[in-house]
Amino acid sequence: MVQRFLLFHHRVEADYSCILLVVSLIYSIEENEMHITEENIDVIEYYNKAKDPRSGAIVMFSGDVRDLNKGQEVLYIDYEAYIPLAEKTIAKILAEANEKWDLQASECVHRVGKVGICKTAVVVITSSAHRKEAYAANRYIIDRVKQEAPIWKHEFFADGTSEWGTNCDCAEPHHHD
Amino acid sequence: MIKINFFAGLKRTFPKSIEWEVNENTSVNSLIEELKSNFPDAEELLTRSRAAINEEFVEMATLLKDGTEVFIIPPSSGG
Repeated sequence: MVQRFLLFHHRVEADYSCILLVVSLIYSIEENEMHITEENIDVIEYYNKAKDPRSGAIVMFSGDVRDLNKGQEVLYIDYEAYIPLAEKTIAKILAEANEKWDLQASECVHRVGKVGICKTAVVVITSSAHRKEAYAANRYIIDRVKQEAPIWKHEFFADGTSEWGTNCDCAEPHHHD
Repeated sequence: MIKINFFAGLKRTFPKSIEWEVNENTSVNSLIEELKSNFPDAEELLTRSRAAINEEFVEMATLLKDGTEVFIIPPSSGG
């Protein structure tokens, strides 16, 4: 990203204007990447995108849906988000992580909609020259996203009940049709 | 009149959105207090909620003008 940014700002001859346009478009697209998706998250795809010659460490966190929560069998989780604000919140958290650590890559993508058992609900990827920064940044990003991004899980259980998740896990289960 | 949007567990009490009368002194905080008084089932969740206007979180002291669309944001539970 830094290299592309430098290229974007580099003084170029007119002959290179087309190349510059393409580079700036790529830069623009990457800057506007979506952090909320209705599609299945392919963690390997994000891992491969994080690879960088300057990075000696890539840390990937995949938050997966498990089949048991507080003693109840979980069938799936339906995630809801206030998408425009969730996008902004995650982008801000990533920007702040990049201010705190020297990262080559940092990405966080969260699912909305129905997510089945063993499927990824959220992925966070960080890469840096050494593992210490990548680990610390990754933990920082997922902790803040879970706390701050307007995203909510609605767990559906095998006994026919469902429950909206809260940070304190104090919501009462209720029956649904 | 303002439009209030609700998410997640608040939808156990409220529809997805409602219209609500406000006066010139109604703040986000006083709106939430009004909602708590009128819908005691949601009191606990409303107490821990934030609010957003124009896709930005706002302070509880923010005044609500006629025609404003406000989003009540219960505690996050993503991940």
